[in-house]
Amino acid sequence: MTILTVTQLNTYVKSLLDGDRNLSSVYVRAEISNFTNHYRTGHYYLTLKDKDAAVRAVMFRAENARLRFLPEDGMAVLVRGRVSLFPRDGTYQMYIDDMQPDGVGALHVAFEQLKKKLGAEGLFDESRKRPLPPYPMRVGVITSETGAAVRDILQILARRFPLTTVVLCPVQVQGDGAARQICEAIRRMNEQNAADVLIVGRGGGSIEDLWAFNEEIVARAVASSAIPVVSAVGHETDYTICDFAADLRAPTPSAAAELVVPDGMEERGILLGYAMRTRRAIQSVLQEERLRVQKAAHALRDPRQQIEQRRLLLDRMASRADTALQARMQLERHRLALQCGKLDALSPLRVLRRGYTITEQNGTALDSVRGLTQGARIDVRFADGKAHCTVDDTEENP
Amino acid sequence: MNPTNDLTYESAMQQLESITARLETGSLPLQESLQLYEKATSLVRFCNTCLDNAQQTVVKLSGSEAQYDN
Repeated sequence: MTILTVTQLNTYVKSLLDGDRNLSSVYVRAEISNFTNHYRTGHYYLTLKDKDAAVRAVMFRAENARLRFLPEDGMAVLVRGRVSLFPRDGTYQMYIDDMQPDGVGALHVAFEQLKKKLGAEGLFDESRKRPLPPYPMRVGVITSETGAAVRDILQILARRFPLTTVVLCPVQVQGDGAARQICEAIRRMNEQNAADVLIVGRGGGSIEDLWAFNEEIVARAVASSAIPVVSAVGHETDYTICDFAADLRAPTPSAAAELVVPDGMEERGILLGYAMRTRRAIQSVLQEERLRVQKAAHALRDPRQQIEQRRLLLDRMASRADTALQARMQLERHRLALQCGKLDALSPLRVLRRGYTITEQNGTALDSVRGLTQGARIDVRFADGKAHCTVDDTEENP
Repeated sequence: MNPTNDLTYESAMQQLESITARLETGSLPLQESLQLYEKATSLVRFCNTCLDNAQQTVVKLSGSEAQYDN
């Protein structure tokens, strides 16, 4: 009989385990417990268990760095790895090289993978997003005809902006064929140019329920739609691939309805605003016109004023001329009187008054005795009358 | 201006916006301003009437019933 050391024993068992082809790559479905993320080495230490059994496991840093999630106690996982023995403790354990969350987690992984792929293609780029029409006259709604979403959407559209026609295209929103129907609906809306904007979505549900909106074909149909698309899937916290591909993500179907149409009450306010602005504008135009007319009227009054002014000037000049003339006449009259006085002084009549007389013959004054003969009739003029005389004799001065 | 049946709320709103902007420049002849003002007033009336009378219309995309209704 050979007596072994513990080390020899463990090494032997380890070699048996390592040599087993079945144990070199096994898949195990289990729940995690006693999870430890070793702070220094970064290795994960954990226990895999099910209802009745448990096994120790380790996932080295090199492997766990690839995981998209952090494992935690109670999480259901699917692990792949090899089975070997840790000689120091004599315990066998699983060396994990890959781990996936079980069930829901698989969809999560698919979601992340698709998101990454389409994102890399540029399908989610901001530059692809188109603005929504401000006043959509037709809103296309692609959702289940029986769900709460369609009711909420119709109600809100009716309350906010009943002018909008709702073009409904009922589709299955979960289960087999849902994704295909959604794509088909988007395609037909575009083909018939049936709407100005599309709401694609459904109400809340589990990630499986919402899954159609995470399908690649739906994302591509949404991204390639000529009509802008608003994605409205589930609740506020639910994000789907469809949300990323759409022109706008609405947190809920109700919110989508609020986002696509304007609010009627606000519209009234806007209309009132236009009415007031146009009134103000026309009033200011009219005011300006009035001023122009006033200015024009003012310009028209000007020549009349000028005429008036000239008339005044003329009057003043006329009156000055008049005054000057009067003064001149006064002066002349004065000079005339003076002249008359002088004339008067020289008048022969004045001499007569001093006792002299004038001898006239046939109305002509005589200044010589010569020519007079006896019997000639002459007149002697006094200041106050005439004496008719007959010449008796003449005598010449010696 | 007589709003015709072809006039949509959206285009009425667009016209209102541009007419208001033009009126506000204040550089138009009086006659044109008055015409624009009259037009704006009738557009406002048209839009208000639209909102007053609006009743939601729901139609199904043609061809969709046969395929998905059950």
